[in-house]
Amino acid sequence: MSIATLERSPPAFFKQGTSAFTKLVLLMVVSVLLMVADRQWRWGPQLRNAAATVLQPVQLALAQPVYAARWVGNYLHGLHQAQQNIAFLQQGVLSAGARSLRMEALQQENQALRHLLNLQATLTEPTIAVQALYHVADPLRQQWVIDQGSNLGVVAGAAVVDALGVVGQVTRVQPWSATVTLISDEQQITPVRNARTGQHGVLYGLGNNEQLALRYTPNGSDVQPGDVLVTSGNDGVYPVGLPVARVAFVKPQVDASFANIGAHPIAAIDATQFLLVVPRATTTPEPPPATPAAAS
Amino acid sequence: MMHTGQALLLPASPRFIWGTLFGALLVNMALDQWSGGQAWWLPDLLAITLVFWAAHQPRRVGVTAAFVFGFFMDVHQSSLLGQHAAAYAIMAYVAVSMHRRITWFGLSSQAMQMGALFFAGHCVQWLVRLLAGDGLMPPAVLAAPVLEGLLWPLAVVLLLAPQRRPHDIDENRPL
Repeated sequence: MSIATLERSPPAFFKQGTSAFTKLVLLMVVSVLLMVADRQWRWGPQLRNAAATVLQPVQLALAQPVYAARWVGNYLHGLHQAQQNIAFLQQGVLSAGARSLRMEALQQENQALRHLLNLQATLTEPTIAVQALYHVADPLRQQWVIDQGSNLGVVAGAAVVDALGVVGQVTRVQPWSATVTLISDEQQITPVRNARTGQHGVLYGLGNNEQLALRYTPNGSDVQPGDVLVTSGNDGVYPVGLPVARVAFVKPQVDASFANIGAHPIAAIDATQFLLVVPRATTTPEPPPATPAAAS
Repeated sequence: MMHTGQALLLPASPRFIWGTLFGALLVNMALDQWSGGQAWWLPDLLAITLVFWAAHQPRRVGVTAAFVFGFFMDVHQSSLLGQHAAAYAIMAYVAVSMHRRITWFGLSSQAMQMGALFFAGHCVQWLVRLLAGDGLMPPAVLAAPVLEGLLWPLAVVLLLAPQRRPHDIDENRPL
């Protein structure tokens, strides 16, 4: 056995390089800088984008087995399920067709009325179809990564919807992917309007996909279980009128002025694979011109 | 200095070291995706591998490598940049500074010491998240460092296996 095959070669006595402690101190400073940059400065997200571009193909490849399992599951589910789906979809297409016919007439009427009233026309933005890649690996966060980013014009703040209603909001955009924060995330707040009464409110996520909380609604308000909450558009971010949640229970509280109101999300927020990104409304209403009557 | 009974090992191949590190990064990413991102208890295999190589090959894998791998974990998990990087760098530093001592212990007491180190590494991340405004973690997160400690003996056996292979056996003069 030659001595070169031994694992333990004598270490260099003098040229040992920078000590591990010095490196650690330097890197701690760098990591604190990174944390601040990620939150405050512009180059933090840029650095993240660069690294994410490198990781993206790997993540996509690693997501393939999940897709394959899903596909096999769907395949094995069988003919019966497929026929049921087709029947369901055909019904949906019929009713959607009927609704869209009425919608066209209503839209024309609306346009004419808006024209009469001199209101600004609401723009319909093109939507972007995306696929959900994977859930962000953090049980405290309700976030999904989707497979399109700034390459297709996804912008931070855009609403994300599925066939039923609002799923969440794009919160971070990378060149070929984006992070969507679901409406059920604890830090996600959605401004809503009660479709029945028109009353405004804010909908808070609670960290689980079953329940949301409608907060700061006074005890005596007219809110009933079954009421549909739609986006109010007050934030200038979400388009107006997308269904978000359905009120599940209303419990007046004796020790507080606001009622405890729970709601279930309408969209299948943690189960859908295909989503639509609705870019934020770019048109902000102009302030009304000062009229002489108002000035006097 | 080597203690009695310690096997002479072949030199570690750099290709194997970096291969296992990148492999652990991939497995971490895959487990995150396949578990649906909701598993508190998921052990951090990359942290185990980094700590192992920092303790066994401190001249090849050290604080800087740990920091870079941590940065990529941050990007993958969409966590605050520097969260994993800082935790991994600290763990690697402790591993490097205890590298002369750790091989003197048996596998079970190694696992206990390493469990404490992994717990400290997770603590760094929980502290960063607390400071970033994410609040306190639920007690279920304590399962992760325990599992990582339990996986340590397995990591030692697997990652040292290539260095324990017999090499050019001399038929005439067996050792």
